Amino acid sequence: MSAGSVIGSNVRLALSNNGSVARFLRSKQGLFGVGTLLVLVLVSLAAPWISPFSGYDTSSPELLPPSSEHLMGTDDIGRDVLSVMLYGTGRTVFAGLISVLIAFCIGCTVGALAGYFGGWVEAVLMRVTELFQTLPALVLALFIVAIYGSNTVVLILVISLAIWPLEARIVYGQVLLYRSRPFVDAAITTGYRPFTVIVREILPNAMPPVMVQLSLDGGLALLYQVALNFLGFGSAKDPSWGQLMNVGQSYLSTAWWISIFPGVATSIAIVGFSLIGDAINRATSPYDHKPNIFRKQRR
Amino acid sequence: MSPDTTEHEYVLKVRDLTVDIRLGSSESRVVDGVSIEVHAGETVGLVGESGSGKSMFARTVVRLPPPNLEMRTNGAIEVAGYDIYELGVAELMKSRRAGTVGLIFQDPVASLNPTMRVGEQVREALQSSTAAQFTVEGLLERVGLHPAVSRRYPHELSGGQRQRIVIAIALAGNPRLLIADEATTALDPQVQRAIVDLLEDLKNDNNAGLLMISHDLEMIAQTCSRIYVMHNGQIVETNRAKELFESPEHWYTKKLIGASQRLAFGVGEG
Amino acid sequence: MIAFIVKRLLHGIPMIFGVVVIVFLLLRLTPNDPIQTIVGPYPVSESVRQSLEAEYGLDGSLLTQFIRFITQAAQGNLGYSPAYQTDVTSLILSRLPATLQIISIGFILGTTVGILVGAFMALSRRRTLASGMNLGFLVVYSIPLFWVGQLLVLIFSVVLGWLPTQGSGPIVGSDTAAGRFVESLPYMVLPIMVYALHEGARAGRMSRATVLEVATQPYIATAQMKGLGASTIVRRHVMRNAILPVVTSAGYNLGIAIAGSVLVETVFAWPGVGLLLIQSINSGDNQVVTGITLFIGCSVVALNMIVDILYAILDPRTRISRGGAR
Repeated sequence: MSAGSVIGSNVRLALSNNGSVARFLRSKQGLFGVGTLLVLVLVSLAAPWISPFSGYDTSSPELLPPSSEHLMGTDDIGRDVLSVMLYGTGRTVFAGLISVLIAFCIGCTVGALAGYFGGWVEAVLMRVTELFQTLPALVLALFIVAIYGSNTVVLILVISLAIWPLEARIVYGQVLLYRSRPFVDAAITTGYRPFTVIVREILPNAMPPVMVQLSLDGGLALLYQVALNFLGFGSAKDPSWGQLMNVGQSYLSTAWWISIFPGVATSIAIVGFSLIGDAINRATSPYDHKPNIFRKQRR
Repeated sequence: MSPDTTEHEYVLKVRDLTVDIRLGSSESRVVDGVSIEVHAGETVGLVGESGSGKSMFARTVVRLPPPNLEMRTNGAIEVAGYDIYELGVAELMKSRRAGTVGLIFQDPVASLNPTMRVGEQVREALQSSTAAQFTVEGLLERVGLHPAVSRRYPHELSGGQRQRIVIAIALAGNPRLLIADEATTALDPQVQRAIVDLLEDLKNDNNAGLLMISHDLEMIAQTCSRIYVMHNGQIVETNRAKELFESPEHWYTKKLIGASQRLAFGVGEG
Repeated sequence: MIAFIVKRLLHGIPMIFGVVVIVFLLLRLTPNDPIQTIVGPYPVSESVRQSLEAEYGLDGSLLTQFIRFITQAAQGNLGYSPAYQTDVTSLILSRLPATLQIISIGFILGTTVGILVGAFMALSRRRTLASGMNLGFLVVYSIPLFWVGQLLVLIFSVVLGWLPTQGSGPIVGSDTAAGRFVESLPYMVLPIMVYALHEGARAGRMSRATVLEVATQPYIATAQMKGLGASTIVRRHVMRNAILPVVTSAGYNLGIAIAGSVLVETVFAWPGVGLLLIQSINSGDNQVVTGITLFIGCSVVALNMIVDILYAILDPRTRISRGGAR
């Protein structure tokens, strides 16, 4: 057997989920979470077709409560809230996902390098990671927005900055874990370059915890997106959930519908992401059943 | 297969005990029709591999189900004359406080509260015990520890010292029955010897019965007068120690003896 | 122990340094005019420009600029706010108590209740109730902090009318400090509740997990063998071991809550540091923004360091053994 096929079979072994996918699909949480995510993605793509008005259309009368014509009412400049929500889904969700992607790239690289090479590389990189993790993300984000202006691109980058340390931590831990395993040693002695070893041997095995973290990060990115827009940053003209909540803040006593609907949607989306993460976690690690301890035994 | 029992009183009499546990949606029988007797002043051994059901047996005898499993029992268990499963909750507490049974677990690290000084943990046993006549210092000395140890935390003690504390706690109520479940497994060999000797002394002082549970056939052979062999939840053989080793009947007993290293030395008279 | 504290300090001080470095770099790397960035959207005359350049050492190299930056900050000089006509440091310090007020009360309330409810969820025999509550806690924790605030306002102010919507006191209030404090009490309730709910949900979930873990330890069986009652066991054995991780993690979360103050204070128009940050960004008062960022960043790093040290002191397992064997 050539070295290539031995090593390749390790990858296949790691990826052959041993029933995890089935377990995941059987769990209520997993299905709810994935369902939520699917709905969000579909809505963002289909918004122009399913939405009653355009998200930019300001021709309706202002501040109407929910009615059959405007299911979620209208806002202060005459936009149909439901339409704004639908149009805003894409901006909110996809911006969040892109942030997660960027954060993953940065975090994965940093974590893998730190875990693989050790020594001062590890010390420096992990200190930097810890620094960014300790810094309150929102404050840092606001600072950057203040200096660099507030537009969609800045928001996406800023949120990535807030999230990447979490990814780095997970990848770092996993690389450390697998670094000393025999099959990795085998790959190294065979002469594969570090990059190949990391990508082909270690990462496939590290997937489960990384995926859990990614789903949690998705929720986090969404939260930051909405929060920053709520505070009034991000592009004010374009529809988004946070922007609605920003408007709603001034009309809390008079037009409750402007705040309620985006709030509900955001909460559900975040719960969905958390549940996906939870379900992945339970699907890929042994099931642990823990009833209470103080039950008295009677024959 | 039954040994000839002496006329001494029973401290533990178990007849036809079965224990089923439920994990998730499946049930399995971990103890199957087990009958065991321990008399006052005896050292009895229960031998078997891990998973044979011996730890579950120990917990059942003291009515302490493992924290993450559901348990169902059938059969008769008498400890010093009481059927412990007939007791209500309050009476069970009372009988525990009376300290009739002393239980010594395997892992001395996890058997002690890490955030409480050991002296305090011993005092707790004494205070709740209705039969106690000791002081904390007295108990510590009895198990071979210097009283100054009482101000330490568990992590500051050695494995042997920790196990002595656990024994002191078990001793607080003048027990009639001592159950040592793998009490020496986690310790160094010399320390093992010392702990076993200590248990023997205490048993004799109290005229109690000592049930030693272990997978270590060697140690059981050296200390116990009668031995029960357990396999897959059942007692497959029981005999006086000497007879068991000289003429084992069951294949599993033979396998255990064969797998054990040195056995030519003296078997215990306990 | 002392060794540990020193080690932790040595670890933490470069972190604080790192915060300053990051802030400084972000400040200077902008393509915008640095003078304008410092001053904000106010016109700058040539003479003012030159004096500012000299004051901030913008004529020097990046390194000298940085040294100037950090020495000024270390001395407590964070610049000047044109909008408030006062120096940034006093501005921050004047608004700090309001923020700390609501965060600390909310945290203490939330963590205490959370720990107790979490323990209940772990030990209760009513399985369905307990897992329902656990799910409920997850939902509450997932709701964005600012929406919790808006919901509370909607329920308690708009619908029920029990509490005021915003602000920290009536427009025309009492003359005495005590009087003003009393008047501010109803205004404090909702902001405090926001923190309490969020932190309580988090603490509750964590408490449930740690209590479950502790309850399955053998030393609980040892305690049961002593014939101790269930409540005694819970009090002396379970909780003693389960509380410490939860409380220390609350300490770490305090830093995150300070960041959350920008959200909560916006919802309630509560005059704390968070609201100051938002207002300053909107008015382009960049020195205040920089000052607050530095202040909060360094405080949180320092706070984490302190919590680390406290944890080590409180956990008996990390205490130096006085001649104990092995």
